[in-house]
Amino acid sequence: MITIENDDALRAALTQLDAADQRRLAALFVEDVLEYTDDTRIRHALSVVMRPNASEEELKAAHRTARAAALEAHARCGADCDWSDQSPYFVARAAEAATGKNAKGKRSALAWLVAMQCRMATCCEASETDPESEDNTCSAQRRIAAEFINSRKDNSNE
Amino acid sequence: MSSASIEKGIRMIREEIDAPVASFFTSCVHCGMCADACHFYVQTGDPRYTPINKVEPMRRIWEQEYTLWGRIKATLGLSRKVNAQDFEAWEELVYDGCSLCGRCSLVCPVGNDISDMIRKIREGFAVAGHAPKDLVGATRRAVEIGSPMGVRLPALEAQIRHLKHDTGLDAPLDQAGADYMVLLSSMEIMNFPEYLEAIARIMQQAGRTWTISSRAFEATNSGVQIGVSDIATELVQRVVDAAEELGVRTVISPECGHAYTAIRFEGPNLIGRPYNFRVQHILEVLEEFRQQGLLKTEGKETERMTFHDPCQLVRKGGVIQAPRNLLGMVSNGFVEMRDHAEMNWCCGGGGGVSANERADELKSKAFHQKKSQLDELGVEILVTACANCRITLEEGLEQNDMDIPVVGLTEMLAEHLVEEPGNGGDT
Repeated sequence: MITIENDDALRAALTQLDAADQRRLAALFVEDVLEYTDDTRIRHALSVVMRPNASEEELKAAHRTARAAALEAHARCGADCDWSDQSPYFVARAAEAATGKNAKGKRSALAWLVAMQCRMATCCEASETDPESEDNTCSAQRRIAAEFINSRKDNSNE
Repeated sequence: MSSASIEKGIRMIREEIDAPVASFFTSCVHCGMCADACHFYVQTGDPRYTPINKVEPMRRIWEQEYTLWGRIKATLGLSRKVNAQDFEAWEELVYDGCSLCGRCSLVCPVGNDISDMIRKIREGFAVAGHAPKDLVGATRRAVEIGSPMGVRLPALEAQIRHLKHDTGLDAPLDQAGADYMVLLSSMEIMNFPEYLEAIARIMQQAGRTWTISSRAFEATNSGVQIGVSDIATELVQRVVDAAEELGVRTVISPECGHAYTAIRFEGPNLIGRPYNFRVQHILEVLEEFRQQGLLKTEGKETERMTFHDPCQLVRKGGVIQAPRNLLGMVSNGFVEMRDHAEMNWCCGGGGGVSANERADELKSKAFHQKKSQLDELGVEILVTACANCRITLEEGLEQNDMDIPVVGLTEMLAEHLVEEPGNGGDT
């Protein structure tokens, strides 16, 4: 059983996962912050990623859905915006990355990039009321990752 | 609009007719080359979008008031004075149908700076009350809050906290004597916070000190976009005051095209004196770092990718080779678009177009020019260096069902920095 105590360990653990597992774990990270969005398309897209038998076509469609949700949620150039309302955008961005095949143009592990987007969503929600609540998301991500990796090990040992 | 407002607009346009503008109108040979250079004209086929036609009200005022033949024609009733209907009809052409990209100016065989003339005619339209309401709102927020999108300091502070928490890096506020003062666009703060992290990583590796002013962190200049020089001046002055108070050597304009030309080229003219600091676009800074051996990268992307040149950066600033050199550090798959560098086609969202919801349909049509460029290449990644281009491209790609991720160059470079202890190592 592994435990993940800090972000160094989290990041190192994530790089050990293959692309499919990165995506599934990333989806779990997004699920953890789903409370910040009302967009039902995000939940649907994540459910596709987490299904082991999802076809390539279904995954592509899920990615397109998440991408559309992210674009709809972005703060329009020049529009009157509020940082504390921006969390749905970052959740959608996280889902877009989680449903993608890989993080093109990025070296970081896909699941790590998704984790960062999820933390940014928390950051928006917490900016004025509880600046430290991002810690909770970080802790949750370490726990989720440890559980996920342990379950994969258990499955491979069976 | 009242006739008094229209009169004010006409008066303002008259004031904008300086010697260059007069010579441009005199020189125009009606060749139509500017039309073929304009994505709005090319993609709609509508002759109203011919760039020189967008300043027709200004040309009529010039002819009627500053030329002998024009005066005779006016006296004889052979020409009609510019009126409220003209402002009504041209507002869409001047704002929605022009991204101030400057491609028309570049191809004009007699050297007319048509793009600058459109920038000037906007002064008259804004005064006359004929500016899009979205731009009016953005400009009001820029003056009152300091950001066209209403971004306040707590939002930036929250991002800085996030940066420290997740990377251990800092984005120092109000650090006097720093080498660089970094400006941000509201678009970056709201949509692309990765940019701030990228800057922090790069500065750390380069060993340069930097800061953000808590009272002038916004780079964009709505005054320039809408065409109100008084406001544009005030917004520039805020940055100048902050930079001088902090005693920085260089102000860095972010990945935003018009912000760069506003602060770098229009700024000193607006405030009426040279700065006592340098202004550079972030890509110019990164290129200097590259030349000085301050950027150490590792690994290269193998996917086929291209670079969308932000119009203001290449056509006004001449920043052409820098992004290519920087991409060369991190990519083995770089390919050029058919028309690139100073001849690149605009994304369609510059010059306030993307901030103007009324212009969405036209912007989408204009994007087909970019689509045709991308279709020819079949790239897997599109890189750019302007947050406004980035979101416009993302929207256009989405509308056309093109699955190409759009990445900021600064961010891509930061992703490839050799990781050293303390350089964004995680907490």
